[in-house]
Amino acid sequence: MTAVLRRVPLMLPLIVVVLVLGLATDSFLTGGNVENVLVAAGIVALPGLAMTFCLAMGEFDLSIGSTVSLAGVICCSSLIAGQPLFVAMALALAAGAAIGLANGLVVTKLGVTPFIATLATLVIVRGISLAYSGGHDQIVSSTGLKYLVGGRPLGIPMPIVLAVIATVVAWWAMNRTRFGRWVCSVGSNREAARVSGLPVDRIRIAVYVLVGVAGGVWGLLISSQLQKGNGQLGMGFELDAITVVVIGGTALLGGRASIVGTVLGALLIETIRNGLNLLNTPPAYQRVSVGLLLIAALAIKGLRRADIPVAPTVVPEATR
Amino acid sequence: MANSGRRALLEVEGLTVEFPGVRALDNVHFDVAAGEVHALVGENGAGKSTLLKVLGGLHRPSAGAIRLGGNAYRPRRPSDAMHAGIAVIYQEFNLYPDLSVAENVFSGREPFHRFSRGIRYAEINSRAAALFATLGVSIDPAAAVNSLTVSEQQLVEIAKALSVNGRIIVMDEPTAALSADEVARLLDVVRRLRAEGRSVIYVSHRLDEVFAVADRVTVLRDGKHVRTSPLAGTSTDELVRLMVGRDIASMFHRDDVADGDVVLELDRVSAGRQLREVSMTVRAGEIVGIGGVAGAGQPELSQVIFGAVPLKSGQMRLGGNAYRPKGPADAMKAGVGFLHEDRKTAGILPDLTVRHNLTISVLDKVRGALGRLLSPSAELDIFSTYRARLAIRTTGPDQLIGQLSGGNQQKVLFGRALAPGARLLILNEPTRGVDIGAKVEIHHLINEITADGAGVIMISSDLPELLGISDRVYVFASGQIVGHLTGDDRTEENVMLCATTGRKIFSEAAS
Repeated sequence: MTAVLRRVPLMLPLIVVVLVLGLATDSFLTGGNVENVLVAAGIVALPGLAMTFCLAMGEFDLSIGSTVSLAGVICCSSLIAGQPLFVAMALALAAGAAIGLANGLVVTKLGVTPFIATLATLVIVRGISLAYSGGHDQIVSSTGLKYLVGGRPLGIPMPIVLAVIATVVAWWAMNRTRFGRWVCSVGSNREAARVSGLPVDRIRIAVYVLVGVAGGVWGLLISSQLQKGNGQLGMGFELDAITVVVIGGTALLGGRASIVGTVLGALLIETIRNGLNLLNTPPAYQRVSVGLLLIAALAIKGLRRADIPVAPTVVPEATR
Repeated sequence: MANSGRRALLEVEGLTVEFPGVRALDNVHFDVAAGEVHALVGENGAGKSTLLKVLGGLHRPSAGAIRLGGNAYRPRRPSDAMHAGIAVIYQEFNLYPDLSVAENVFSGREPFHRFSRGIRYAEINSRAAALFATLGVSIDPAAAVNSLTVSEQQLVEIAKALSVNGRIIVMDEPTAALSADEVARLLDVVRRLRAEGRSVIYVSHRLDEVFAVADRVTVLRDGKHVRTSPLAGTSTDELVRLMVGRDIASMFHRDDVADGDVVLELDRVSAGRQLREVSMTVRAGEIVGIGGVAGAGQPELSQVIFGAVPLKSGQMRLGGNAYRPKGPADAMKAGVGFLHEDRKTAGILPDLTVRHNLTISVLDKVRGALGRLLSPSAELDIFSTYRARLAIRTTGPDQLIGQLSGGNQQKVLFGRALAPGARLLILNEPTRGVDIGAKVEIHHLINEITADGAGVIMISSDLPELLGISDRVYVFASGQIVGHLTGDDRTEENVMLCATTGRKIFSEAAS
């Protein structure tokens, strides 16, 4: 047990938070509420898993919040225009992939740093989404779309099913396939990866496309929940997606990733949000607490790293 | 102690440094006199760097005492060392690349105008120029550090040490990345420092430098003090024996390997900024050495063969067929292996394990039944093969490569280059920064690779190595071949003559 706690650093805080909330409130540990937490965590885990690959590569994608909005707007307005559901969804995912491709090309072929490139895309796509929706809600009433969040195959809420499948696939891809190894190699030492013959640019583009598609999925889930698309949706979502990955222990500078950590990060954040709701904390303070949590997670990591010059775990000369 | 004539400035006694599971230094003692150049030698892992980091205030000893000028010296942080007059110049420079030379030299201690609070640039520039004058070199104090060569950056570090009035200047492998000219200049600077009465602790793998510049030498092995003695009356062989703790049969050994067919043929190849009209051949079983001063076109040569820079003109043939790789992946597929000169920035994947570092270029070969999935057992096979063949010392396939010594990291990178089935291996500085024991092992390995029928191109700035294990040597100057030395013509003098004067020497036997 202690080995598990040490290897999966978020396990302990998660258990503590669950215990505290279970004792402090009557409603936290009820079946319905636990399901709410799992659904919310599942929804943020999906983009978080894609973002894990991006961070493992030593880069990040800020544009995903706008992708969420544009994907929702495209899906809903297509439905309003009478397109069948699968076409509307395909168009939304294609938009996500196109945004990812654009990010990837700008970053690799034009050599713009990811921070600036995706910040620019964030603003551009937000503008496109606002223009495309005409600034109005695109309200739909589609039972098919509703199924994406509200459906219960085998009695399990759809977002949980999707998140579990995505987690297994992502873990497998990260730890057992060539793609995952390549992503970590690029994140660990891009020049060495290039010299080793890896198709570095293609790997980077693929990861941006992956994050774009994940943004599209996220947009569909949000639109499914709200039964509308809107140019304002998804504001600040990019930070949520990055937060769950970073809290989960994936190195911001790349090279190492934890898929399990990302899922636990999503669970921890949504548990805390849910608990603060139950404790009647205003939403503004919930944001403060998520921010503090992020600092705490990185500070713990930073403090551990600060130990290294005094007591390295390896013989110092061996690091040369 | 041999140096009883002079009072010791720095005395280290019973110094022990322990890390979890490792005793990096074990009861080490030595002393440095004022105005002495004291060499510190030993293999990687012998404890030299740890000792330097204790002196520099980065590590705290678990036991032992250091005295500086008779007083206890217990640095708790790097600034303590600076104030005490001990300046450590680490192998990794601590410079701000975008700031000017003078700004770097006086960083943290910039004099400023009383009212505007602006930095007194005229003052720091002239003071920096004066420091360089005492070192006998000229570097523009206003130039940005990133516009300087490595050796000039080193001089900036030295000037920084002088500017805080460092009484003891510690240099860790100062010549690892320098050309022969630059080494000579650095050794002059060290002699000047000594003439000014400063002490220098000089850490180097290159024993010829140690003999050229040091007064006394301390040998460390496995964290323990082996011997401190004057260099006069000591021989290289003796030092090597003390460092490795055993006899090394022969420093540079080249097996007799019969030449095979021509593997690589270059016909008037031009590429990059430097390389112009280069023609050469490499046969199977041959080690072809490439010498010359740093940056005379050797990097472009290796990169164009590896497909990392495009061919401008001329032709290449590999195994008799026209060869024009579109990129490194293409070159590897054609059977060309490549070892980059910079193990750290373009070699190891520090966050990954030894196994993953070995197999990164051959992941398509270790895919299991399900197509895209990697097969751990196939990867482990590759790991065990190369661990045995290259004698890689590691705790296992899942150890992080960053935890290995430089020599063992280099062996892993050899394995990576060989794994795709290379019939031509391009080695850039194959033994840079590795200790003598590992160097001998790597040379042995290169011999074996040729015995297996591969051709090797070895680019090396280490002349004894270049001449010791190459069958033939091409010398480059300004992007062209100015010498082709075979047989008895392979001498240090000939290489230096071609490289530095551009005089052409082509051995008769060579065709």
